[in-house]
Amino acid sequence: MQSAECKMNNVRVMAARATHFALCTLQSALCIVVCLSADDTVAEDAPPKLVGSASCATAACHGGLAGHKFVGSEFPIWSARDPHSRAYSVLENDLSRQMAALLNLPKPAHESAVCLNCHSPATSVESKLTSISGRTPLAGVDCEQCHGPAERWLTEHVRSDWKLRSAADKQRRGYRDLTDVLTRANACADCHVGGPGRDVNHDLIAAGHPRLFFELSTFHANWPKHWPAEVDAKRHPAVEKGSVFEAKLWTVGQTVAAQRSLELLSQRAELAKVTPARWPELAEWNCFACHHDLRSASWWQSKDAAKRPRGSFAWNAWPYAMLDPLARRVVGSENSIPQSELTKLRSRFESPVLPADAISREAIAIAQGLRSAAERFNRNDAAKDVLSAKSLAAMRLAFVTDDGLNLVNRDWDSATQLFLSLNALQHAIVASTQTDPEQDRQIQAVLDSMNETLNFQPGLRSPRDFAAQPIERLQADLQRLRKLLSPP
Amino acid sequence: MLRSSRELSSRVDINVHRQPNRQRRAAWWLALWSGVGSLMWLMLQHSQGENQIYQAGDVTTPHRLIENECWRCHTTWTPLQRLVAFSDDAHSIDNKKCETCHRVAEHHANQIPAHKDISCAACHQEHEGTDMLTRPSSRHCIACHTELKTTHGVSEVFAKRVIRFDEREGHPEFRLKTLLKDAASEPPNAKHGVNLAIENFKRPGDTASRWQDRGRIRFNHAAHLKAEYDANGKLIHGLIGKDRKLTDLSRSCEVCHEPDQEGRFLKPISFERHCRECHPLLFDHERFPGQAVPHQTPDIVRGFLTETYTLREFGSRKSEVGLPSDEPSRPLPGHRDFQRLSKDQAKAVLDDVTKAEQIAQQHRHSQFGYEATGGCRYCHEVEPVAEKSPTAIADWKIVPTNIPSRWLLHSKFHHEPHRLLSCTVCHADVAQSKNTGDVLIPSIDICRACHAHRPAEWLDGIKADSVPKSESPQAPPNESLKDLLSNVNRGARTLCIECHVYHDRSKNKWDGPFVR
Repeated sequence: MQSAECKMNNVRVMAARATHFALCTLQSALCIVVCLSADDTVAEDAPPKLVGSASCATAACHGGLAGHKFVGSEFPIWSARDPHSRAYSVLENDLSRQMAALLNLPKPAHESAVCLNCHSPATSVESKLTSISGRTPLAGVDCEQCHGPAERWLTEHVRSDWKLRSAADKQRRGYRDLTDVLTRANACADCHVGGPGRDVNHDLIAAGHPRLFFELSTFHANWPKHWPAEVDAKRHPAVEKGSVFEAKLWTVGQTVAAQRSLELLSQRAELAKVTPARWPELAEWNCFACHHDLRSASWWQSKDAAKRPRGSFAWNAWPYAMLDPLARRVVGSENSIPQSELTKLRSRFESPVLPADAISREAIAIAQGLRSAAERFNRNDAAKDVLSAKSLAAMRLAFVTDDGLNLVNRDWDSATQLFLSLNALQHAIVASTQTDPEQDRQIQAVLDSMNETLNFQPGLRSPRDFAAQPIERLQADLQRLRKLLSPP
Repeated sequence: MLRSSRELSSRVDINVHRQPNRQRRAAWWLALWSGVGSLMWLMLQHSQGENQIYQAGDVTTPHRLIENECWRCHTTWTPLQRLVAFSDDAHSIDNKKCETCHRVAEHHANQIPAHKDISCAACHQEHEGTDMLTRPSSRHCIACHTELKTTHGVSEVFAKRVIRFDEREGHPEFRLKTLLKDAASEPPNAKHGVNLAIENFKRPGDTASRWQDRGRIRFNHAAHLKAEYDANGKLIHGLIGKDRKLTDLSRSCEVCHEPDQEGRFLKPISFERHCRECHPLLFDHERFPGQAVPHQTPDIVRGFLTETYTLREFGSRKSEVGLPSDEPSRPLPGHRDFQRLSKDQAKAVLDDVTKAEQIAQQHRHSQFGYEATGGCRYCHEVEPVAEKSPTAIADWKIVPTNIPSRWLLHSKFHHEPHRLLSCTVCHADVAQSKNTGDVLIPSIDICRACHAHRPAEWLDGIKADSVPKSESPQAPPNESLKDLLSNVNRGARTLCIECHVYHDRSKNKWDGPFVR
């Protein structure tokens, strides 16, 4: 009897527990449904507005005084260390004043859209970004320029369910998911490569703007970050050990920079239809194609590995230097980098007469190929094949043995891209597999020597002296690297 | 025995009138041959290209080049016309002939007669010996300046009556001196040269604005020239040099006022050569003993101090120098990293620079061991920069010194011929001058002491005895000007062109018409 009662009690307890569990599950499910259903309430007709970075900088949110090193102190770190925080103030310096005068801008640099579009997009009159209730946005490249206008996600992103939301939902709200390397690369390229309304063309360079030469992995490494670098590494794990984040940065960065450069080229060619005087855009050529000695057999002519005919020009090598080597070594069967089209486009630039229509069309076609290549590098499964330590090592060896001499002989841009790539690959390999510290040290010594050679000579602000001797030194460095990297 | 008249008459040759008169004939032949000879000589001279015999007098040395080519200057027959007319107003030279070589500037724009109406030869008269054509007689000047009229009527700018230099009524006093005497007066116009020398303003320490030297530095002549000797001829008061020895500069003006190569003008004072030794611009005697900031602009001074203290910072705290944590970690060719100071170091350098600047600017910092030394303010007026230009580095500035390289631009004064005189004969008040505003240019009366027909008459008019007598036993006996000139009967030249320049030579055309 007693045992029967006990049994009944046990059943009741069990039932109660089951009910309780069911109720809890139901409640949780309801919560999730309610949260997810909120997606539909986002109005999508008007672009989201800026809230202003001051909203981020409250002490309880991102404006703490480095109490937790990074988290909670993002704003002060950005403000004190990140050069982006000073992007606006440089527009008031002497060089900017001089540039505005030389460019005949109707307004000073810090009020001109051509400058503000990058240096302080929020304050630019051309900007599509508008702020809520006329609040003056902070000048410079601040939080919302990279993370997205916060009107529709400011209150959301502090909720506990924010992290559960889908990327698509966040994107709809105007939030830019910078944990994704491709998104991050594109965010940087918006200004560091250029785009509509953001064109560092020959006029700007001639007036004094530094030439843009963007290399994502190097820039990223040197960027004073307002987040812990380990987070990036953890989000992109390698198969064996460590992370493929560095490898991804380099591959995605190279392809995105080239893709965006081609899109800019297309945009410049399209603009030629409206204002023919602006075409051809001189910044599309290698600077030294024109800016070199007029002596016969000058240093510029003598070191041209491409052996172009006399009088022909050289395309700006910087964004595209590593595309061919990358296409040949990495992508393999999934090759979406259109090499032959790229060669054709390059040859078009050897003539000073450029058919704007054809160039615009061809550039867009290649850019599309590069877009899918970048997406391929950005996929999570890339870590298993193209970005595995083994293929990175093979790629580096191929660069050193097969492509190196060509790149080094061609021009400073190509040689520097090779150096930055070797350096990035070295960091990527060290981050994703077990390496021999002694060998790493020797490789680093060679890379340091290359860097020393590639640095501008004292007193110069361009690689004007990049001629026979530096090239020979680089060739010797490549030889040393080949010995170090070749399998015994 | 009486002779008959026939006999007597037979003694006389009745054909005597038919016989030749040898004397007359000889005279006639002589006259003929001298005439022919002269003509032949003229022809011979002419055939040799010599025309000197036609000249009234020697041509000036520069014109010897064309002495035999009369047509270079004279128009055909005009010399004869001038000779016949017997008048100085008829000129045998056309201005165009002169202007072939002498493309000199025009006459004064407002003068009467106007430029085109004046013949060059009116003043520059040739064939009067080898004296320079550029030294015409004063009568040419006085002809108009006795009662000067310009195209504007009576001139307000120029003296209306100038007739001779050696009389007070004949030539006015220097404008500079009249302005100094009469505070209410104004310069004749803004372009007048006197504006380059003096200015009506209020210097720090002045109660009201006054006409004074334009220089905006502090300089005390009296302090630099003090010299006193005891009975044994030992200098007991003088200038204290760097080595703390007494020096007598009272008769060594050229130590600072160096003549130029020609001896005409005195070169500008140079801080490096004349002041630095006693007035080094020390800034940090403890850490940089004896080191001075460069005598340059505030920007350069700040740059110098920043570099000095930065290098010191690098040198003294080498272990601390390095890349801060947020410095670039990966090399990017073309972005060479420079050695940088940490934030703390940069602040320390800034503090040092600010402090050193303050010391260097101080009016006086005798604690560094030199009695008479000082910083910028010791000589200069230092002002904070109200609105800093974007290119400026320093936030303080030196008021421009405003010292002209020449005080009287139109004067032709030449110091070298006056070297027999002590500087203080003319610049008499220099030893008493304590203020930069003092104008030490002498009065025209001082000039007249010598430049007059009878200089001795002027001796009473000048304060020759006021020249301070040096007590130095080494100094030569200081004769007074009166003594010097008491036996002089005839004074120094008084030509207008001794001092005045007539043509504005700055407008001369240099690229001449002659080509090879």
